Amino acid sequence: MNECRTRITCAVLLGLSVALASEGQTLPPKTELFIVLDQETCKDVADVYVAYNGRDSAFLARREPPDSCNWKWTTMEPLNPDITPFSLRLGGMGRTTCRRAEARDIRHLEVTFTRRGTGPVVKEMKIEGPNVAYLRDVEVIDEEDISCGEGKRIPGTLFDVQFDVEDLRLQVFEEKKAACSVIVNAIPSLAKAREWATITIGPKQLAPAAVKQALETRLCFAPTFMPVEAIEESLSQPKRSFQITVTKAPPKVK
Amino acid sequence: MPARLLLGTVAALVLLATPAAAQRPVFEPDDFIDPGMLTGNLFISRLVVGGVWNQTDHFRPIGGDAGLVILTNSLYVDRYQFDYKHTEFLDRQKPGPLQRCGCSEPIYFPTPPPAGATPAGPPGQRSDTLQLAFYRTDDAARAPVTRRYRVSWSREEIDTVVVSPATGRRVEHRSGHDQSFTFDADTHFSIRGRDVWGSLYFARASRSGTVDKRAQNELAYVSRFPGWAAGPLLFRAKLTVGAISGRGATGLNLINPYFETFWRHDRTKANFHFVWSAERMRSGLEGWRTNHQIAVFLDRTLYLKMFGR
Repeated sequence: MNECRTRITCAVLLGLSVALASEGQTLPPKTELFIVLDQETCKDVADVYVAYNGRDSAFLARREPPDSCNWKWTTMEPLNPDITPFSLRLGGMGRTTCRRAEARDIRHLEVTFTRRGTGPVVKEMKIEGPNVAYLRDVEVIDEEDISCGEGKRIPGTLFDVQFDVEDLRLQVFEEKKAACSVIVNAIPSLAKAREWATITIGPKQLAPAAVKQALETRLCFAPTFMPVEAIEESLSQPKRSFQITVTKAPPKVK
Repeated sequence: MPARLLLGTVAALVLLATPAAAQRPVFEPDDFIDPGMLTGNLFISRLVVGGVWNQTDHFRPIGGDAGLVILTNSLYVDRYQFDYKHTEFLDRQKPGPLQRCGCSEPIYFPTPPPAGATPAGPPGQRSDTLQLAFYRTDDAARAPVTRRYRVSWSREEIDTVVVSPATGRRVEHRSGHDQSFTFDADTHFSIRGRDVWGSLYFARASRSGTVDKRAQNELAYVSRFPGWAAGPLLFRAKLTVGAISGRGATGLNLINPYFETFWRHDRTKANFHFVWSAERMRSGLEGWRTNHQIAVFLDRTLYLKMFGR
């Protein structure tokens, strides 16, 4: 009887160990991302935050070794380099475009960035208003870049925004996906906002912007000139009004 | 091109390719509104006032210039759009009475264009249009494209008076009409990552109860380029290429570049439009000819109601 119990216990333990071993091979418990910046991109950068998988949440990476242009970030998530876009927030110095990482092995990925975004940097952009999604639609500049959108919901704060390389879309129409929604950085009051400013954008600003973007084919349908009044009325009930506070990085002194 | 073949081609293209949008008169403002941008059902009534030079209708020259007033009424319910549009032409050149000789086979003066030539457009003073459209959005995509499919029916009454050249007395009165059916669908595809927007349409225009009974089928693709802004002005361009039957010229016989500029006057809420449409058409008798149609008009929303939200 005792021998029988011992055999069963051994079989169960053996089965468990095999299962755990195979589990360990397909799902690594963590992924390490090695980030390489070229000298130009690396200049004056103190902190690097990683955004990935279409989420506008940035996680602090560790400089390794110190004073180098290499960073390391560890996540407990398994990441597939073939489908995961990465981008960086450069701690008030701007942002990068989106790129894919290369796999060193199953747990270690490496991604290189060779360019910062151009144009003025909005260090922080606080958006208050109805609980809608937003999307940072990032441009493709270099061959290695990939098209990507990084989003979350508001109210919230966006960091290292650079309108020259990204469009900020607000999902002001419930039935229209964020990727096809109005681009708010084209609204003149926001585009012209100085170092620190709080502006309010509502239907009267959003509707003309939507009409112009519809003609420019930015809203996912063929170019058309829509009646502004219809869009304004649609945005009025429920009212879509947002308060945006921007804090820009001071211009560089050469 | 035989009508059956043309219809078959359209059906095949509609089934195989992505769908289309129509060749409207140049003075008719856009009325596409993505249902995803509406928070309820919408009724909108708009007024258009303006003038058109070298006017054509379905690429059939009407001749002369005309003022125009259009009242458009559009109802957007769910993913459907219903329109009724009424157009009044002001100072449109009325054709003089036709003369008919007393021959055994009647001959009319002025003689209507022969079968191998471009037919004349309808000379009516008003027209009515009914439209039904359906919007489709591919919700599965990350950036889903919305396309519109629309059928239109337009009708214009034509009264013809025929007099005797010898006595000048009225010898005949004809009450006819010109009508057209159009199916159009928006198209979208990508070439090397670049979006290509357009419309594919098929239209049949026919006339009956008149001296010159003509009919034509149009099958064309309208490439719709992204618009752009320069200060307060918005611009757009289109290029239509296609084939029109019944002109003695088979194959590609229509090339139509089109430019439009818009300006919105915020205080009056009026949109000003300037359109230049260079219609290059080919017929068996005349070869290639170009008609420069120009329209200047303004449109303004008269009434708007959103309901059922």
